[in-house]
Amino acid sequence: MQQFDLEIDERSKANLLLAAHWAKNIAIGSFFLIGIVVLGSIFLGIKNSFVGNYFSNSQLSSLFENGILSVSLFLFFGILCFVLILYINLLLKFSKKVVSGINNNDITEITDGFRSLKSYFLITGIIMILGLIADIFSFF
Amino acid sequence: MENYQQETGATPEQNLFNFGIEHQGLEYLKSSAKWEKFMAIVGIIWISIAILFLVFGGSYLSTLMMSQSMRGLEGVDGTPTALAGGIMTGVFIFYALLLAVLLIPNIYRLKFANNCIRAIANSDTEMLTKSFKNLRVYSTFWGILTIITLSIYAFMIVFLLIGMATYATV
Repeated sequence: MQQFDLEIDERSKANLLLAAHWAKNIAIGSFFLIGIVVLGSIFLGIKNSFVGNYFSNSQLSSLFENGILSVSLFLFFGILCFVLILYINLLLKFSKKVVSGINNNDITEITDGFRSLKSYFLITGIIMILGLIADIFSFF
Repeated sequence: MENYQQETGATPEQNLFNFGIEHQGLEYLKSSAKWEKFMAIVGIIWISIAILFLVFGGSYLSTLMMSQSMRGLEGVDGTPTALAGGIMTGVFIFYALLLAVLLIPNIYRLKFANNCIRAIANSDTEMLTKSFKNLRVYSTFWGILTIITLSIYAFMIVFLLIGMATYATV
């Protein structure tokens, strides 16, 4: 029989399954929210109301007329959405791997799930540190 | 057990096998727990400072906001009326409650992290179970909050569409 460093009992399995279930819900909900923001932005972009009105009296308006800033903003927004989707996908991966690992008694899959969870928390932590630095700078 | 079988689809015979986490998995869990501990502590400190600021700096904030957004609600001599004061108190209580609610997941994530680190250090299965229980509560909280946020968005979109349709027909 294989020896493990730390055993998972029945209650742990049930708790992990529920945590994975809710993690899946959070991930799907977040995908929906990103979708709503993307659709809203496309809608506003087509109407050209937000960017056009917001910067109409500023020096940036000529850049918008040339399309340079619009394209840059669009590219930046697209890359941001892509990174966000990859980030949330880690949570979905954790959920899928843990559920399938527990159902098949496969520890390799659970370990993979924990790796995704670690990456998810690591990225969240880095975002938090960046936010804190931005907060500190905003005081000056 | 029946409940568990329904959730996992695994038979009791399958569960008799020795099942646990190997070294690599423990490393991942430990790393997750350390990040969670850091985020929980930062979150608790940040929310506590915000609550203290609301409680003790409330009068300064209300004067500031009153001058910005409550024009028209001053009395004859320029001092705020009871209505304006009431609105500001309501806003502060709402924010304080919101912040207090946001403290809950941070407490659970701190408990998860502490229990997980202790479980790995002492190879304590009971502590690991406790830590996963806290992780479950933490995910449940954010899951419910996500559903509430999505529902609010759905209502907003429905009202927006109704408004646009009404505007188009007028």
